[in-house]
Amino acid sequence: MDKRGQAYVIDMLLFALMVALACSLLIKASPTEPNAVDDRYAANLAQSTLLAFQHATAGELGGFKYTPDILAVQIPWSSGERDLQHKTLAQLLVEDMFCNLRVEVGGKDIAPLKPNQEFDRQVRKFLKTVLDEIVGGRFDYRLVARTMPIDLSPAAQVHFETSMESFNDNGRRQVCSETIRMCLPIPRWELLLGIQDIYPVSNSRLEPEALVEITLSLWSK
Amino acid sequence: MEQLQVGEDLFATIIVVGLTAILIIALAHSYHTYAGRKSMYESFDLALDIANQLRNNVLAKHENGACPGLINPVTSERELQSYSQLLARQGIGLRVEVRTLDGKLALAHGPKPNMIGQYFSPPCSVSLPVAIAQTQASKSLGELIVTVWR
Repeated sequence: MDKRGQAYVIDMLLFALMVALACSLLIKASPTEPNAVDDRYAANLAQSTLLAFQHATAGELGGFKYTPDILAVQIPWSSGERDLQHKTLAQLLVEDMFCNLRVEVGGKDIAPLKPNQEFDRQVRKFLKTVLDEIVGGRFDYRLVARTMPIDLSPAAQVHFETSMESFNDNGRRQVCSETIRMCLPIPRWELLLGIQDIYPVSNSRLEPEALVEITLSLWSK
Repeated sequence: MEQLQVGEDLFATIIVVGLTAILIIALAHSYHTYAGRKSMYESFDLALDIANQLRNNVLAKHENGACPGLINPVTSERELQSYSQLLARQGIGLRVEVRTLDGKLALAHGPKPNMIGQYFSPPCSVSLPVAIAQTQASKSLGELIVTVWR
């Protein structure tokens, strides 16, 4: 091969190197960050799930019944069972809070206002089944419902928090977190009466509306 | 000697042209992959925007106003018709399905995308959970599935 032929081949090799570099850059370059797409979809999924929770009724998901723990004595002619099939999923969660509010003084729980742990257990199981079905296949999740603390005095407050999740370890990436706020459907006088059984509080100290916060966080699988 | 030299030059030229062709094909393929991914992301974004619009507005109109997240399959058909016509004017095809969790079809609108016809712009689907208003008192959980293509 004469010098001209060798020059062709060397030119070609240089050209090949540049083209290979261009190819690798193009293949690596992503028009959008894949995580950003995931995050956007996850945020929409979480929003939709919370919206659906505010409308979908328990009756369409097999129904929801429970027997209040507070009835210590069995009444022979009545099962004491409450049928909550007309309630939405969010209302079930809020009712769970109402039934299990706790008074905390100096950082320690005194006692639940209306102890109803069986109801709490059933609601969590029911909602977990629903979440597993609509979110579980795509993301791991954690649903936290808590009341905004109602201050009774500088040292005392009423609160409740419950959570359900599809995983145990915390080493994963949290993709998004969406929150809705609802009012606790409880008349002010009833809340006051319940609290006064355990802790002396005046009417003026109680805030007009008790708020509930429901947060759904999604995590990559 | 002179003839042999010409043959070697010719051989070098053939190698150069062949390699150039192969590299250009590789570059074109890389660009095609890149463009395909870009188009997929754009379609997904579009489908997500449309699904949001349907969930919050178009499909959520009730007697007492819009109720985001609660689909009304009875009164939604006309709204959906005009919305899909609006999208069609922009060259966007739309297929909407609302299914209950047990897979029953509560609402379907628009043609199914033709996979062969959509070879260069494949359809993109998004699904979001929604509540479906079946009667005044009963609202079941379901899924809104939106498929878009250009």
